[in-house]
Amino acid sequence: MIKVLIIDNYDSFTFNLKHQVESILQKDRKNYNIFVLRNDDPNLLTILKEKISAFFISPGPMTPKETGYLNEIFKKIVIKEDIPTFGVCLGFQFLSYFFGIDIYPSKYPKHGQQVDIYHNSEYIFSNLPSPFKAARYNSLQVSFKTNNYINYLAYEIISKEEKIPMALKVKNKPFFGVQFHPESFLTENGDKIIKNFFKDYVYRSP
Amino acid sequence: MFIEVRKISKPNFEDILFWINEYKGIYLFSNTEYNSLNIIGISPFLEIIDDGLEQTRKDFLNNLFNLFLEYRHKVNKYNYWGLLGYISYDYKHYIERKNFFNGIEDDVFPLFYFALFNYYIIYKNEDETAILIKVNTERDLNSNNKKINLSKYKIELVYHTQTEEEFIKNVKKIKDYIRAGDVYQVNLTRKVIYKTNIDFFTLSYKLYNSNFIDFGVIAKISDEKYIISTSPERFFYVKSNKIVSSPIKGTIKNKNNMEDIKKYLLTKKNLSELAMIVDLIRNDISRFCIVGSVVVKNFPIIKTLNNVIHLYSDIEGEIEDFNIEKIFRALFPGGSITGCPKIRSMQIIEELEKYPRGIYTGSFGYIFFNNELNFNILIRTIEFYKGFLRYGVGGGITLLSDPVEEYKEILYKAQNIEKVLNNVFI
Repeated sequence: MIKVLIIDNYDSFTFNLKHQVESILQKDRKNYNIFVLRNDDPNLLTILKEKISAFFISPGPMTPKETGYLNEIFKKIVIKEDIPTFGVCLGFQFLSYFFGIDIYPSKYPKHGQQVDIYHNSEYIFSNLPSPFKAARYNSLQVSFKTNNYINYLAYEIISKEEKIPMALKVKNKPFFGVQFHPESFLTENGDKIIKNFFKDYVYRSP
Repeated sequence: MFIEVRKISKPNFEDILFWINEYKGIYLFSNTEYNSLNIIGISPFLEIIDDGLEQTRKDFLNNLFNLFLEYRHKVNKYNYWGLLGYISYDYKHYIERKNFFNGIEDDVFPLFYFALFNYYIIYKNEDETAILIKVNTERDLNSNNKKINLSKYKIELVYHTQTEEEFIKNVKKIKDYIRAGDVYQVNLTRKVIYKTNIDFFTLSYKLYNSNFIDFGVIAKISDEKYIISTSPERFFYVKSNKIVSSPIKGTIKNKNNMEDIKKYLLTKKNLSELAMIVDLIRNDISRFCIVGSVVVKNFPIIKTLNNVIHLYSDIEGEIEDFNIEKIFRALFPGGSITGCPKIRSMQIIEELEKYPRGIYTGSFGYIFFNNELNFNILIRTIEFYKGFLRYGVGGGITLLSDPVEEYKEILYKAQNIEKVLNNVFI
């Protein structure tokens, strides 16, 4: 049984992500349970006490600091148990923030627009064309300067000198984040990215 | 239950207005080929109406669904009729947790109103005849053979809720919220309030003929409380367990040639404004639809009215299990008139608009016993009560919005209503 928990940061795209995940699990003929709980729901801890196979952090308004119990459960449970984690937009920013990367208002905010995502075909991007088109919905961005904890896997290229991080992996952890929105109808290959995540990190775990 | 169904000739507009005014009623109309369906309900024998009690309000959607099920069971044979009514925007307080909001509600129109009627008349514009359905009554509706005398009237602006400067300032505030990461889009609106001695017939007649209207309403809710909508927007339509929602986003003043229309309408700004709401509606529909069934059918579609041209899109899904309460809890209020993400947008709306929206940007429609539902978004809608007249107008604000252009856009949108009322532009 694959148990998926999506933490909903009071967003209006969370159920797009839920359907995307579910349709992958259904196509792969997996038995699954999927829960969507808001970030201030007291039942989060109860559900996390059972063995969770995958943890999704939804997009959402505001900043990574304003995400209810997310910080607490991430620190207390998700990290300790190495639960494979996939963060989208605010979820991506949360992982960056949690591992010490600066976040600030972007010079290039975009909402509901397609951009080109460049990557090295690693991890969740394996067997994907580079670039591919994806929808962005963000005003804040994470710093281009990375640190000891984070590897960036994808970028939007603004100019020769300037790139905006669009995906990350936490080193030695099954934690991934994407700044763009794999669940948007404007994103190509969103299903493949999530499928790669499940194939390499969720289906394989004991 | 006694139900009689028969063919009649299509009723004339004068009679419809007369019946509504005399016996109370609701006329859901289309004067176009696009929707083309007309539904008239006259003389309510059962009403679900907001009584102001907290428990009634909380239970409303559940009660509505239960009443629907009860009557669907009773009706069983001829089921192409049902509940007509509306839910006001302020019902958001009972969809989301009330403490997310300041709780201020309109005190003129009830928070919700649905009714079952003794008489239904249903026809499509292209039909030669209409269907008359009589429920629990032997008597007939008689034609009155009266002509409407368009009477002269006085009208005087009482106030609008945001001046031009305030509106522009609020657009800038929204852009600050967007830059801070709070939201991607907020639908900012204002209300315009008039005092007038216009009569219901003159007002209805003029508004009915003022534009291409797909999802119009002429309704008498109670004595001296009328709703007259010229809405072009479908919130959602449910038939045979399929749902389609058609949010409108992106507007320009009407242009004469297609090249100009494409140049000014199909811009990055308008397309992204629509895209956000399409993703939001996909989300809302996904909450009660079968996994994998939710699809964007057309993006974008151009819709031409007298005064403005809009973009919209169709998003479809297959319903998992038919439950009216679930549908409204997932969808309401419509994303095209809140912004995205929805909850944070609604909070910002309260902060900036100050005045409660009431029925404006709520939804009016029908729930038929064959499981067919059709609801509009109550925009371009006149609330007419006790010598006052009120309407709201607004637009979606994104980071790409130019504050002055946004203000102009709301004037274009109000143009047809203003022409009807004043022959002047505010």
